[in-house]
Parts: sequence; structure tokens; C-alpha cells
Amino acid sequence: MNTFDLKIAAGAKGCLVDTSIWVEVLRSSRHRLPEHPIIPIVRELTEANLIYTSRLIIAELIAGAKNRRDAQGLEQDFEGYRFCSEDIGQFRDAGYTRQSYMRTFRRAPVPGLIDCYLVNLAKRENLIVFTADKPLRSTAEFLGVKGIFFSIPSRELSHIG
Amino acid sequence: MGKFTTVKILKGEAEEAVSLTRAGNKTEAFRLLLDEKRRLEKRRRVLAKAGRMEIEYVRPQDRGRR
Repeated sequence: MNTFDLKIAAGAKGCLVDTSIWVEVLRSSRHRLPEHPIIPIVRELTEANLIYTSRLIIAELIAGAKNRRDAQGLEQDFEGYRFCSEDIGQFRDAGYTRQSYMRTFRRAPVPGLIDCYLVNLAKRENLIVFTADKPLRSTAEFLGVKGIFFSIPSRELSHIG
Repeated sequence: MGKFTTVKILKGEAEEAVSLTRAGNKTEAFRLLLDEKRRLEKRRRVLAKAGRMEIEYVRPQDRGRR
């Protein structure tokens, strides 16, 4: 694992890799540079078995797949990753987080329930987050959850928290 | 009727498997190691798909803001 990851991973059990990163990793490379900066990080986290996922992330990947065959292949292969323990009641915490965020930053765009749910999940499981999603990054900063942010337009990595 | 496979394992390897997995016995240790091997193969299959899929990011509130 490189220095960038080691610094941010200190003390955390693993990394919750967000759907935004998986989509960036998986999608067709026709319009991309040959060396994508996030792929080596995902590869190293995979080999070290540090990646955690959520049933919600799998659902988003299924929803975004081109056809049923691709969706089923992804669903089966993602069984190789570690799953966080989840229940639907955790959306209640997500609701409170969103409500609290909205009251704190009255004029800022409000993150969605899924962003709030995933960051709460990472916090409860002592994970860092790896995302390319700005609302999820804002939510992580709001809840004090550390992580890595990948900017799609600039193709740059930065720390969260 | 289930399928059974008999595999002969060296004594040293069996003891190492128990030590690695902290399982209660050798059979359980090898079951855990095989499960982990299958999970690793699945994780590698995900990586093998990198840059080769048509997939859309569907989180709705994020439209136009990324």
C-alpha cells in the first residue's frame, strides 16, 4: 500500500468503497487515460482484503448495469468482499444526519439519504470512505469520518477529514 | 445425496492451517481457507472487469453536481 493510503488508513478497520468509485473503476475505458489513478488503490485494498461494501452499494451497481447478465455477474463477484452488518433501521440515523446537516448549512446543497446512510455505516463500522461523490464527501466531513476523495474532473486524489 | 471429496494433506500443513485460521479442528480450518480462496477469486474477478463495463452512476441527488 502506498504512503497516501497508509496515512489515511491509520486506526481504521478498512475502507468503504463507494458506488461512485466502483463505477469509475468498472466503466468502459474508451474515453479515459490508460492509467487511472484509483485503480492501483482499489487493487491494493482488494489484495489486502480491506474493502467493505454494503447491500445498498450492490443495489446501485445492479441498477446501473447495462443488462441483467452484467448485473448478476457483479452481484456474484462482489460476494468476495466484506459486507457491513446492516438493517433498514439505520436509515433512521441517516434521516437525522440529513436533518442536522440541513439545519447547520442552510444554504448549501443537502446530501441525499443514501450519502448519509453510507457515511453513518462507515462511522459505526470504523471504516474510512473512498468516494468520488461530493455530497458524500461533505457528509463525511460533517460527521468526522476520514477518507479519500477522487475528483473526476481534475483526476486528483485528496484526503477527507 | 451430497458430493464428498477426500483430500490428503500433510500433517505440517494441516497444523499450519489450524494455526492460521484459529479453527477448532483441521476440517474446519481447511473449509475456512477454501472459503477465503473463493472470495479472493471473486474479488479478482471484479478487478478483471476494470475499464470493461458499461455502467451508469444512478444516485439521483448527484445529477449534474459531480
